[in-house]
Amino acid sequence: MEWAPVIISLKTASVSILITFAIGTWLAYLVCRIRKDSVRSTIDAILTLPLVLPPTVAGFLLLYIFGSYRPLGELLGEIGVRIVFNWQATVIAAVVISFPLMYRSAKAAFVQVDPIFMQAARTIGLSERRIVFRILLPLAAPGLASGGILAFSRGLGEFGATALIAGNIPGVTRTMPLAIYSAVVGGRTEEAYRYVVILILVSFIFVWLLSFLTDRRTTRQRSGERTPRL
Amino acid sequence: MSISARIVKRFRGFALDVDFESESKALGILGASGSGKTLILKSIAGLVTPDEGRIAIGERVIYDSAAHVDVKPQRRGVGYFFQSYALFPHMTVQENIGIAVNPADDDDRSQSEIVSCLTERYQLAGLEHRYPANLSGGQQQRVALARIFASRPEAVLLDEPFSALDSYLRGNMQDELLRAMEDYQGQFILVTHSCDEAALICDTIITISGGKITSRGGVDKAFDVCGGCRALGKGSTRPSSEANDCFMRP
Amino acid sequence: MKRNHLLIIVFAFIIALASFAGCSSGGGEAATEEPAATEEPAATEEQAAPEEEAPAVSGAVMIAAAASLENAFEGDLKPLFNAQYPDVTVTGTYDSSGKLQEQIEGGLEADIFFSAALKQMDALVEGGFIDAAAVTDLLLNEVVLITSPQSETKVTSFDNITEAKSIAIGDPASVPAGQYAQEVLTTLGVWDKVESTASMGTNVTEVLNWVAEGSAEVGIVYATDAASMPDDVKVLAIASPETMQTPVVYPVAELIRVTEENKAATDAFVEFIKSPEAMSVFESYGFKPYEG
Repeated sequence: MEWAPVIISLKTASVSILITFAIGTWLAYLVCRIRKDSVRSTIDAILTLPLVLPPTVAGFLLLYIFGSYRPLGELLGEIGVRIVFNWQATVIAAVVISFPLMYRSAKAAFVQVDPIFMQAARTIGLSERRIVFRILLPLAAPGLASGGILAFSRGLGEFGATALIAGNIPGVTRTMPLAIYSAVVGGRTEEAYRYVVILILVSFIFVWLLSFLTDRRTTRQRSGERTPRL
Repeated sequence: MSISARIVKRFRGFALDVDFESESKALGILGASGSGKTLILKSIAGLVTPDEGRIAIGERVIYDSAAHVDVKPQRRGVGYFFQSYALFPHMTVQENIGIAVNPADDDDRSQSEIVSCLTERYQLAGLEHRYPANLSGGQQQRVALARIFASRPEAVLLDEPFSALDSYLRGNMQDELLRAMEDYQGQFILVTHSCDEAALICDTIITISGGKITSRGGVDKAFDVCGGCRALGKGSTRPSSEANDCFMRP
Repeated sequence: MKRNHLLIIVFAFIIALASFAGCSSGGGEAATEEPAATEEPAATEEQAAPEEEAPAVSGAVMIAAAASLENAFEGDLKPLFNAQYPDVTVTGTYDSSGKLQEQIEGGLEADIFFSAALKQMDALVEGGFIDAAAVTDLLLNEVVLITSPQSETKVTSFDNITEAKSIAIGDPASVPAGQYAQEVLTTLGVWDKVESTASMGTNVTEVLNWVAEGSAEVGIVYATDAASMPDDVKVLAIASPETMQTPVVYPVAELIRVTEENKAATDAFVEFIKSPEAMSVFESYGFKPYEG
């Protein structure tokens, strides 16, 4: 049993979720603060786009930007940075594909926090920064957590964009989804089956764990509270 | 000290246009729902920006459209009592009060000392580690008050603090508030649609209708407008308490 | 109201059925005559479409062919064939020979299999899908080393391929071009090194794209693949026959499952594929005739 794809997938998904979570949450917060409706809707649509496009389109666009013979790719190549056909590319693919899930979940989580809490916090003198970290984020936490699970699982299962920019290099960029596909196509269905089972198990563990955590917090907060819900 | 406010704001089909000044300890703004009274409060607190006007607390101008002054709510020194209390549901009583405390440089008391003093003062001893969801209505109100006072505002605005309560609780709550007001040095503005409440708690009453002030004066004047309210004079039911400022060294 | 809704649904259903019926049948009468000698275009003529129309052979033929044959079939061979046999509908499905073999084993209703290697054809013969006698080794393809026109690679031939920062080949497990790559590199003694760092494409088009975009510095594909993207890739070297155990042979065969009513149409197409007219088309795409 070749464990490399499992390790690569887990490494890729773990690193990419950290990046995705930070950027997704931060951008969701910024977008929520935009006053002008038209501007907000436009930016929101752009950030949601990778969600509805096929991953191969995202991969294609990434290549268009970072490909070795494209301006940016060449520029990066000058300073010795390569982001195609290596492990970093798998992370980039996972981040781009899973980002909209995180972003939309974070936005929804922020929106459902009653603005009255932020108002109360302002009247007792809390700075905007303290409000974000001590009021907004903790109250949005369940939504952020579920966004994180979604994004992590999506990153784990990423295939189309990864194949395009990271390649299918066994032991380097061959993630579990790529390994499954190559195995099926190469007639090694037993091998594919093993990866499929692992993938399902890992995803299930994460979904269960975070579901459990968020439910406990929700029960503690929500029972009998008097603040109005939208 | 006086609070002065001139506020003009277009609002839901009519325009709010008020101009008042008050030196009383407790000013009441009396009006029906939708008359714009909550909007006045929010403008003073800085949660809403008027179209035009000027608001000052004592010498400090916190809003002036002509001079482009618009102080952030955080800096206005104005506390706001929300009708639903707005206690942070993910924090304990202690944390709710504690987060509002910002020990000034000249005080030697630590944050936890201030918090325990306030907890004592508002009869919340023993409840420090409870979450708002596990408190009674009365307890929640006291926490809300304690939190406001913990931030040491110069003025406190109260938004229909008793409207949601049944009459059984209302009496107790009003006593609580009167007690708190007695201790505190600053001024209060109370918004309500209940004549009784206004009469009980306030010295001066302004009535509002359709965004405009329709009368201002003492409690007796308000009765003319309300018609048939019970005559409750100032001070007749206010309990007294020791002046125990939690923020200064004993 | 309900009655009207029902009528609309029934009407739509009838229309749907009618269009399905129209699609499947190749024509009215199935005059299945033996394809006569006059159907074969004259050997000397290079032009398309002889004047006479062949007897009304009709039917629907599905050919499962290696990806490297797609352009030749869709671009030239199908139109040429249909000029002679307008009543035969040819559908082509193109993919790596390995995938096609799997699909046929899994029940794909193909009539003709045109593989890019002997392995898959042999497998289907063994599996009882194809009669060994029906197999014709028709074409020869060459294995080439390619790179992007913009690359500044130091690689000049298969010998110093390891100087490339990144390599793309077809997955030997499923792509014949990949198997050949493995053969060539093994003979040259560099296979182990390449295997550990190369990106394994699941079909040749994937490899081509990787090289064209510069994700892979060099790649190994067929001469025909390189010819299909003349502006995007350039050939660095051609694998010499000594480095390959077996030449790259493209066999074609009719499947046993071809039904009576479809036999005439299928035979006609196979004959056409083997004709000199078709061969000149193949050559224009980079293939060579197999002389073996």
